[in-house]
Amino acid sequence: MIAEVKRILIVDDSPKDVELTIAALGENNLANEVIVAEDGEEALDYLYKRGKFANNDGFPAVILLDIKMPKMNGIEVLKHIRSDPQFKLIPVIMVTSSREEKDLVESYKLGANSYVVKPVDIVQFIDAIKVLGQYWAIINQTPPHPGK
Amino acid sequence: MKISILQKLIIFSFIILAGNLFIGYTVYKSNQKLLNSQQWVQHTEQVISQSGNILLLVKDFEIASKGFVITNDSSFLEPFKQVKITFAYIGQLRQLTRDNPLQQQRIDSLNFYLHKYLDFTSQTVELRSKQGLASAITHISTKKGKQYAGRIYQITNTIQQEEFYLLKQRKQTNGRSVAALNWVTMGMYILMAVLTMFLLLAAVIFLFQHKQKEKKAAELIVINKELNFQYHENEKQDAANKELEAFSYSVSHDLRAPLRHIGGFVDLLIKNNSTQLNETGLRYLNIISESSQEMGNLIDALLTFSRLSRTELNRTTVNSKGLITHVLNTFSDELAGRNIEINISELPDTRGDESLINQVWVNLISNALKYSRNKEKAVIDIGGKIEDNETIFHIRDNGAGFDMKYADKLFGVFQRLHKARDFEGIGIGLANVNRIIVRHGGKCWAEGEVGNGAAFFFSIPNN
Repeated sequence: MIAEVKRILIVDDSPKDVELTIAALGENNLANEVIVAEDGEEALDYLYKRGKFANNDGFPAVILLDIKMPKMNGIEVLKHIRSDPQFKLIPVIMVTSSREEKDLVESYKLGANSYVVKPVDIVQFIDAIKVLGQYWAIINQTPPHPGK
Repeated sequence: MKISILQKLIIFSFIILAGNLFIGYTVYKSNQKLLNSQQWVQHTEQVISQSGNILLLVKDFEIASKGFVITNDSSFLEPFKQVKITFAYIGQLRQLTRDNPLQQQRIDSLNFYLHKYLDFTSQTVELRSKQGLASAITHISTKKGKQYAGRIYQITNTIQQEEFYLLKQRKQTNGRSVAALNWVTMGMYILMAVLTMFLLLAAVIFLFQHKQKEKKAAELIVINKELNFQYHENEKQDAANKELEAFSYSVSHDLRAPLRHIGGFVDLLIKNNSTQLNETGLRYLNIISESSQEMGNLIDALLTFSRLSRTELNRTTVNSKGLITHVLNTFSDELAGRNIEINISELPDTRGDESLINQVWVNLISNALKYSRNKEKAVIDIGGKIEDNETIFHIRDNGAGFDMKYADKLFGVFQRLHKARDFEGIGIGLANVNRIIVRHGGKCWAEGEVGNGAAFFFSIPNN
């Protein structure tokens, strides 16, 4: 059923949330292709192949981006991604604990493809990640990458 | 163009001033006329007295000449010393009547006959002293002297009559104009009195209005101060809101994260490691999981509640009937399996934030459905009516009701009057309703009785 497993970049400063996300992705056999950036700067490092990601050899099929992070927050990362022609077509899903309307509105304004509130219920969370993982990593055809 | 009361006052004052000047003029004129009349009377008296004097002198001359003729006593001739005076009188008469040619003519002939008469008497006196009594009598017998004297009487009389006639005429003319002037003056007096009364009235009104204006100005200053104060209060409020927003944002993110982890990992534990736990352990884990969910719900409720205080109201005309019909439709699943009678009476439109008012009805209708679910037949009445300056809505059910002594607790955050075992809920719905209505400038209240249903009311100002 899974023709091609694509890479998922998780940008989240909370290792616990990352673990939960990976557990949820694991439910869908998506966990093997997960890369974690612990804050906004690391996410950009990964995309631009620098710092600890200097050896990065590819691009994520989808980015799961938390909003509230130290140094550079998710909204700023999204701004960078959408302003660089190399990355602006990569699907970005905001995954955040914020139910604040202004975060949601701003995310969509800046070109986020989806906005998901992290549920407290793990079963819900797993379901949500499952849907997202399937949709963005498997079903959705990633746009042709200019760098490739 | 609108004339202000002050302008009216000034115009009135000028009219009254002009009127008074006119009255002064007419009074002066009428006095002049009276004075004129008096002068004419005096003039006539002078003419009459002068002409009378002339007559008296002529008589004296007659008596003197007759006395001398009879006695030949020269002492009788004494009055003839007055001849000069007689002509002086004639001169004065001429002066007095110089504007009247007819009188002048008469005076001329008077003068003529006086001369004739004096000539005649001189001749008589001369005849008597030189030729004796008989020739003097013969001379007198010619009656020429008598003739001349008669003419003199006649002319003098005519002169006097003429003066009397003129006097009468002048008096009449003057009298008429004086009377006319008196009427005009009296009319003006009345007019001025009326105008002065108006002026006084206008002045009183003006003073009153001026006072009112001053009062209003003072009130405006107070209002201005209040507005200023309000403005600063609003600024403070804005700052407080911003702080609150930052706070809720933080709560939303930071408080929920550990909760999510507790719940998440407990769920993972249950999911992956349940076989390693005994029944009690599993029960505990389930309780932890439920509690974390419950706390998540409470946090969400608090965030919603605080958001209700911050979001700006977007007031439009809300079609109450349409809104309530729509809300009832969203409860169709619950309605389907129950025996419920919903009566909607009159529902006036109102002005408010449609999505917030929608939330009010969702909360109130869901409460009514919830607390009436144990009734065999639930009855819910919904309605509204326009009062003086507000619209009052109500929703009444025949459900569980509540004890009125706790009525003040109904609208508090997380306040509940029922056990969670009987009716689920966290106690935020009515707090939200109250917050929304208060933000619209209205009020919420409730009536109820344990076991006999509850009625909730809220008012929304019409403007």
